[in-house]
Amino acid sequence: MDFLYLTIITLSPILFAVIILLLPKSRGEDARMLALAAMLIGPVLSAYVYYAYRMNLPPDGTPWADTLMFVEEHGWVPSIGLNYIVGVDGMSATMVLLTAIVGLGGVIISWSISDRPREFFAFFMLLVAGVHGVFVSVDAFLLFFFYELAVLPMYVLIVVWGWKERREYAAMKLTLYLLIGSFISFIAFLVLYFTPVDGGEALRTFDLRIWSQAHFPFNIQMIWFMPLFLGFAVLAGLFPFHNWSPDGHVAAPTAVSMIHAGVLMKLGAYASMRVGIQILPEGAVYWFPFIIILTLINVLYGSFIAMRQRDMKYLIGYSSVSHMGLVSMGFAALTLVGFMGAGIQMVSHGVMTALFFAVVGMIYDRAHTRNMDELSGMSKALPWTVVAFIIGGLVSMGMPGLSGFLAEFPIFLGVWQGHNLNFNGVFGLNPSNYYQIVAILAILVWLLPPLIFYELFRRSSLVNTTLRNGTICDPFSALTRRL
Amino acid sequence: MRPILGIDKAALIGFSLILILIGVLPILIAPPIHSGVYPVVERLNEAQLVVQSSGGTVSGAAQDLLHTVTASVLSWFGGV
Repeated sequence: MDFLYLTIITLSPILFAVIILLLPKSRGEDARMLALAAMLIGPVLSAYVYYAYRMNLPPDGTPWADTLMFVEEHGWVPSIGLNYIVGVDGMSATMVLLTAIVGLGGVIISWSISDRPREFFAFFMLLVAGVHGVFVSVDAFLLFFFYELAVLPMYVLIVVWGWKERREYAAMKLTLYLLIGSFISFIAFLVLYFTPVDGGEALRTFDLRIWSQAHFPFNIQMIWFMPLFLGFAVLAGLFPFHNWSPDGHVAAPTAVSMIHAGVLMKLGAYASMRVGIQILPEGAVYWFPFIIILTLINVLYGSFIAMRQRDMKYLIGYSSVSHMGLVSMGFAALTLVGFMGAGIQMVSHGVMTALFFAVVGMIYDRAHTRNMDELSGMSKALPWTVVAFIIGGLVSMGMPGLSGFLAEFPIFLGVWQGHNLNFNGVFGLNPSNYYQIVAILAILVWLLPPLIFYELFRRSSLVNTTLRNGTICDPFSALTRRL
Repeated sequence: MRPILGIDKAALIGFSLILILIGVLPILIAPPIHSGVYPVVERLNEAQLVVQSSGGTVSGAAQDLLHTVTASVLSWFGGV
């Protein structure tokens, strides 16, 4: 029997969560060590899985089902087509590694947590297990199961350990948005389960390998693509369903914010791509000219709202909405380059936003405020955090040589190349006009991140006098004040 | 102000290094992602041809579905 890499990566945090909960109350210190041990297993095994996949990449043109590696398949309720099937392709192997790294970072950042550490780390383990599970699932029902497993611990973690002023509101809002979204997606799953395919019988299975090779009727694709895609895209923060996200970021404790923005939002984007776009591609082609407009609003609206924030967590929360809009935009471009950019953006933003929230958590633990008006002199008091924040800021603005450029440039290129989209039919726009709009928006998107961080930079003693005097940035500052 | 712990510094350095490494060496990450998204894009390319030739609309699809569902329900009751 082969070594069960993916099962161990996914289920070991659940086992450790149970062990942590069984510890006596007086042994909170052991809970930390056990959580660290659980989170060290993930990076080691997922790094091996990633390396093995990287060394054995399937050639282009291989059907998706044959690109999967480390596949494990066991019957769950075979009579109704429910099976435990896990495996990874190139995208999910990368996301599993990202989840493991961010999970480990989350435990490290939460090391000093003193309020009920056993329960905190146990729920954190469940959250990480749920996220891993979604990325490795090759069965739609299993994916849905792990998706719910990832959402529910978030509620408890925010309500119990979150920011006192907003935690109940934010946790309830987040849970309602995500559960309603997943419920709608699940209805679409059932439709696909019962739909006759190619004039024959219904598939009566949730196996995504079979779904990915089936051709669902065009009418079914047109009607059910949107519920399926949008149900998951809620978690990716797609406009206008993004509203739960910044509140969730702000109210959550640092480690949960890291997982939330670092990998949980990617989970929505991944599921909407893997299940929505891959299974119902004709529905995707039909609806993406509309969805790409939502993603443009996502990017711009998120950036503009971020500029008005004085709370560092809200600022990062709204910039996350903007960056996740770029992921959806990459998908909506319908080109290989756009998809590549979206995939890299998921990883880049995952690490970048985990870094941002880690920095804000460290500052808040020491300064007891996240308000930028009350913070100054951080470069002397906490130089490590300032350097890390500037690196994150440069990634965020798409600086060449950093991961943000590698992600965002292909997305814009992909949108530019997406000339197969028929925008005339949808918006009455001439395609050349549309390209101009995209070009202007692209320039704006590249300019906005520095504006987002301008106020913070202005207060830092690391920046030069020109910037501090505001001679360069004042017009932009005036713009943000007007908004 | 309480200084940053060594373990916190390790986390900051780790995340920062990953961001720089991916940017400098895209080959670390791009090939697996390419292989992950390629099958999806292939399906989309095939779908574009179908959608262009179908000329279908959502309202038309909804009407077809309504007819199908109505016929199924009526036949279940023994009618039509």
